[in-house]
Parts: sequence; C-alpha cells; structure tokens
Amino acid sequence: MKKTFILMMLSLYASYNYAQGLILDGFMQKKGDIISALSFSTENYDTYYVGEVKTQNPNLGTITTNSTSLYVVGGITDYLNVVVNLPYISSKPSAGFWSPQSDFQDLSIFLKGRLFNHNFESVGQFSLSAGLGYSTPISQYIADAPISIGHQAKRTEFRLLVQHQLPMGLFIMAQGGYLHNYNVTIDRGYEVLVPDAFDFTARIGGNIKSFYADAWLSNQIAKKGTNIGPGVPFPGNAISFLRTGFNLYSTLPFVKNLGVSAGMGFTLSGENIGKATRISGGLVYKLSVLK
Amino acid sequence: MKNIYLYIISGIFILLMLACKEDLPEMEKLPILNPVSTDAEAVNWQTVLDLDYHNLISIDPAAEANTPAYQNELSELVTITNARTAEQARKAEYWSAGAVLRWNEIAQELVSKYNVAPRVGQATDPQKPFAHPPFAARAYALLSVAQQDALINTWIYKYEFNRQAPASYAQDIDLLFEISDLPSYPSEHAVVAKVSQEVLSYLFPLEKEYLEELAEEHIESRKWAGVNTQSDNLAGIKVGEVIAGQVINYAKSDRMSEANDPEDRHLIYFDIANQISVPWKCIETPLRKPMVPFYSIVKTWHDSTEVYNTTPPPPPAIGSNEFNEDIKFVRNICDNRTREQWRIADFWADGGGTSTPPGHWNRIAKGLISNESLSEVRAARIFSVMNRAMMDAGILSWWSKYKYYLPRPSQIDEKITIATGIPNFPSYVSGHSTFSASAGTVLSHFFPGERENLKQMYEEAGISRVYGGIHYNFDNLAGREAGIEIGEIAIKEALPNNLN
Repeated sequence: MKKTFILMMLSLYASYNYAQGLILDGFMQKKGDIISALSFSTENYDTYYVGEVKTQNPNLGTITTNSTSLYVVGGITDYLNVVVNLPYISSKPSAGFWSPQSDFQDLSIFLKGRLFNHNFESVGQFSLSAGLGYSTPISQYIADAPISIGHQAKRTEFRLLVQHQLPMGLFIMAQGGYLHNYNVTIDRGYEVLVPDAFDFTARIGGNIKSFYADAWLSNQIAKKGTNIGPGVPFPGNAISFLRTGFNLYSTLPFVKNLGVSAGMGFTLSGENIGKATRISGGLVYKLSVLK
Repeated sequence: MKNIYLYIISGIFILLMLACKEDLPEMEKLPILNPVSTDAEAVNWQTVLDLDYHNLISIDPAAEANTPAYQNELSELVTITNARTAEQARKAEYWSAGAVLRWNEIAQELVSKYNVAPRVGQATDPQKPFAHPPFAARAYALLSVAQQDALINTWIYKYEFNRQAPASYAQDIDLLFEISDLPSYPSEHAVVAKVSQEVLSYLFPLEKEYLEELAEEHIESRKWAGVNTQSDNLAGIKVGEVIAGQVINYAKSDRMSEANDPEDRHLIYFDIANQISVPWKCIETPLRKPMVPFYSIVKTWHDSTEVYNTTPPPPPAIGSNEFNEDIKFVRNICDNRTREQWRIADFWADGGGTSTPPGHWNRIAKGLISNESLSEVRAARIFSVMNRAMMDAGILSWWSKYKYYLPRPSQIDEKITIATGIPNFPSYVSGHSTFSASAGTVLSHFFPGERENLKQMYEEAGISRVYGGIHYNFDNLAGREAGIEIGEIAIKEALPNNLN
C-alpha cells in the first residue's frame, strides 16, 4: 500500500539535532500494523547564529553531530496511532579542547488521532489530524555547554495537521504545533526557563510505484528567551530556524516489507542554532501483528 | 463523536498556552532584616583605611525632636506613609532585606555584565572594563571596604546623636515593618546606598545613571516605609559621599592601572626564558595576551610581606616523574569523566558572563549573613574581611602564575579535553583554589558552625578545576594552602577589633 511507504518518511525528521519536536504526517496506520525504522544522520556546521547574527568560533571549528534513531509507529485503532522515537546522538568539535558528547537523548511518545476524513472522490482525500506528544530526557547528558546533544528539557507538544491527497499519488500537508518546554535545573545549581516555541511545517510529495519523494519547509519560532552569550545558560536560548529539505524512499525489490530512505536538510536562517546541513538515511520495516 | 476529540485536544492546547506564563523571579527574595543585635559596640571597630574620617565628615547634629524643622519632617513622613502605593511598599520591602546585601547583589550583577573578554586586538576602554576575576576581586573589596568604613562612622554618629526612630516621635506614621531600636540619624541605608553608588560608578563609569537611580530609589524607600526622615537620609548621603571619595582615592593609587601588559614586558620582568623549559603559551585562536600579568604589583590589603610569604614552592618540573603522574591523573579524569565530576566542574566554573569565583563566595557569604540576620555594620565587616582576603589571595595566585609560568594541562597533552573554558593565563597555582580557600577560611571564623560545610565547599571549588581538565591537582593543593594562610592573615587582623 502506497500510504505505508509515505508514512515512514517522517522518521527522517525525527531527530534533527535538538530543539525540534517530532514532525508528524497525516497518514494513519491500521489497527495492529507496526512500522519501525532505524535512521542514521550526520549534520555539521561551522557557522552558528548568535541571536540572528552569523558567527564562527575557531576554538570549536566545525561541529559534527551524528544520530541514530529508532522510530516506531503502531496502529491502536485505524484512527489512533502511537508514535515513539528514541535517538542516540554524538556531537564533537573539530578544534579546541571541549569534550565530545554522546548519549541517548530524549524519548518522545506521541498519540496521533484522525479527527476528520473526507473522500472527495475525483479531487482526492482530505484529512485533519492532531497529535499530542511528550518527550523526556532518558540520560543525564550535558545540557549547558558549547558541545551538547540537547537541553534536558521535558516537553509537551500539540500539533494539528491538514493533509490533502490527490488521486494521482500527490499530497500536500501543512501543520502547526505548539511546543511547551519545562524549566531545567542546570549544573550551576539553578533553574532556567526554556522558551516555548511554535512550529509550522509544510510538505509536498508523491509516489510512483514503489518510489516516493517529498520536499518540506519547516519554521520554528521560539518565544522570548536568551541569546547565546558569555555566562548565558544554553537551555534558556530562544532557538528559531527556517529549514528546508527533501526525502526519497524506495522499497527493496527482493526483501519483503523492507525499504530504504535518504534525505537532506538545510538551514536557511536561524537564531541561536547552528547553520547545519544534514544528510540522512534509513531502513524501514513493516510488521503486522493482527494478521 | 469526533468533535469531542477536537474539544478535548483544543482544551489541552489552551492549557499548555496558559502554562507557559510561569516566570522566574529576577532578584532573590530575602526576608526583611530585623537584626539580632544592633552591634552598638561597632563604634569602637577599626576602619580599614587609616584616615581621620571624623575631621573629613561634617554633618549637622540631629535636630531635637521638638524643633519645627524635625516636626515638619515627621509630618511629611505621616503624609507619605499614609499615601504609600503598593509599588512603593514592594520596593521598600526589597531594600529592607539589607542595604549591604542588596548592593552586594548589584555589584555582582554589574561584574557579570562586564565579565566579557574584549575582542582580540581591541584597545582596552576604561569606560568599559573587563570584569575578570582579579578585577572583580578588587571591585568587591573596594565596595565592602567603603561600606564597612562608612557604616562604622555611621554607628559613631548614630550613638552620638541617639535619635530614635521617627515612629517613636509620631504615632501617625504608618510603618511598613517593625525595625530595631538602632538610632536613626544618619540613615545607614542612605549611607550604604550613596557610598556603594559612588564606588560602583567609579568602577563601572557607564553605569553612573543606573546606579544613581537605584540609590535614589533606595534612599526614598526609607521614607515610604516610614523608618527614616529627610534629615536622616541627607546626613547619610553626606557620610557616604565622603567615605566614597576616600576609597576612590585609595583605588586610584593602588597600581591596578599597571596590571595589564600589552607589550609582554612580564617575560623579561619574570625572566621566563630562564624559569621553565616549556613556558606557558596561549592555546586559543586567535592568540590573546594573558590576563593582567602584573596584578601582583597591585597594593595588598594586608601586610605584603606576610602575603608573599605564602608563595608556594615551584611546581614539579615538566617531564619529572612527579609531573608525569599528575598529568596522567588529569588525562585519566578527562577520558573517564563522570557526570558528577562534570557537574562539579560546571557548578564552580563561574566563567565569562558570571560574577566570577569571588562573586560566588559573596553569594555564599550573603546566604550565611542573611540566615543569621546580622546588622548592617557586621554584614559589611564580614564582607570586607572576606573580600580583602580574596583580593590578596588573587594577587598571590597571580604572582605565582607568572613567576612559574606553568602551561595548562592541554598545552602539554592536547588530548586532555575540557568541561569548562581554559583560562588564558598560566596554571600554577589555581586562582579558584586560592580565592575559595581564603574566603572559606574567613567565613569559617565568622560562622564556626559552618566550618565543615565551608571546607567541603572550598575543597570542591578547587578540585572542580582538575575535573574540568584545566588544572593539575598540585595547582589546586598549593593554591588551597596559600588561600588558607591568607585567610588566616585576614582573621588575625580582624581579631583585635573585638569582632568574632
């Protein structure tokens, strides 16, 4: 089924370094179907934004972050899916002496429900879905340092998605989300407010036979927070960005239920985040427990 | 049916939006100070600067209670307190936590703001000082010396004129909070506000207006609370101005202006070429001049011979077995750093943009002083003994750093990774250890019940630098030893002044 292939593409966005929630899509898994994906990505930047100003730091050089994510979607019913994601992330600088970091980062769990669905026959299928997610750090990774893999903030997020599938296999999706971050107690011994953020993402894509492609644009806008600066705790930074990218997916010809994916992402602009370029690839496997 | 989901989810969404309204307090909430003792005997305490302050200060005697002038002041207070706004009450309560404590917080805030290294190649701007740890140690010392000398003089006038609190002459004053029976003329709050405002304006010239506003609000707040009249405040301002002038004169001639070394004269002065086989070098990009190489020529607060007698012996020679053992120790920590070691390194880092290690110890002192509800004059005295000890500890530590010119561990073994920034000056001895041990030793004297806690704290502050990968443990141990000795020198000087 075409939808199955498409569904898996979201795994590629799942662990885009930190400061971004899990981006959902508008496709639903059927009751009892489980899809799992293992994705790998590498991203790097030598330029980052202090506030909105581009900066480089020769005492850090290029910062490279690799992640491996396990991603699982399961159909509880045809209208309610659970989505789980767990990334393992490593980050290191190419210059200077700062210690590299690596650990499991944040475990995310989403409930995604289809609220409305209508088939317009000749003009395609329209759906409205909502997602409610929670993520929590599952290791004691370092949060307040120039090289870190996350902010240690627990997060609740809510997303609304509209999607329209055209009969010939094309689809467009738009979603808006609100990400609420909880305060973090940093190693310096006090609590820091981690700014909340809005997230807007649009995607357009389609598939022919067993091949799929999409392009996306994602904009996160943080609420009031700090800028990167001397003595300023990193988790309190207001992180915003505009990113774009594409994904490709294909099933494998001889192995049943297995597919491969690849993608790239680019940072167009940002605030208090690296101007990172990302390459990713993944393996996708589908399992039906109720058949 | 599906609509129900929509309502539920929208409801949760709205709740989330509301939840993000929570905010953190900007300034620490502290209780209103009601001192356990008014410390009347402080009139006999020694001031730090050996000056004939009494001849320098000229304030009018307090007007008698029945004079029309004072009666007018009292009725002004009745009017003000009966028309007090909620905002005025809030501000008066804020300042009432302690004049010394609040101005110490303000000094820390300014140090944090100015603790930003200038860009490489940028000329130093005296209007915009770089508030690094040696600068900060001196700033805190100057501020607390000024507060102490001003308050001792204030106590002398208070007990000389013995004017009681305004409310004891006019029952109609609507007091915001209870106060002690400390005589009210001159106002100790006005004194501290003025003296602190002027000393801090000298140190941070661009903050002059901000500080002026704060001092004005602070002084006025005493009227809003109904605890000081106009003449209490004016006399306080006068005392503050005179003492600030004297302390600023001292600061102008303490040789701090010669501590920078843009031409690297220190290499000759300390004969570095003949001092060490592998001299310290900057390992940042781009290269930066080391921090205040001549801090050691700045005037010490205590007898300089005594201070310099605490100079530690030379560090182990680079390449010696002892040295190799020590660098292996650091490397091993970096290769296997535990989460707790990282936390400790970060907790005590007090790097750029913070109030520095001396600021961290001012916060510790503030907590102890506030807990015990000590009088303003005693609080100032404790800060003054501690901050002078810390500045001398800094001077000694900087002397040792440039005398021995020992490289940081990462310069010797570039695989040593760090959990905190590498300071741009030589390693031996650790400034953190020296500052912290001197402050902890002084505070242990004033708060003997906290001795064990304080020891644990200064030891942790010292080892935190080894956990961070930026110091050898012998830097830490030698710094700690010198710091303890300097703390003891400071206590010894405080002892004859009837102060325990």
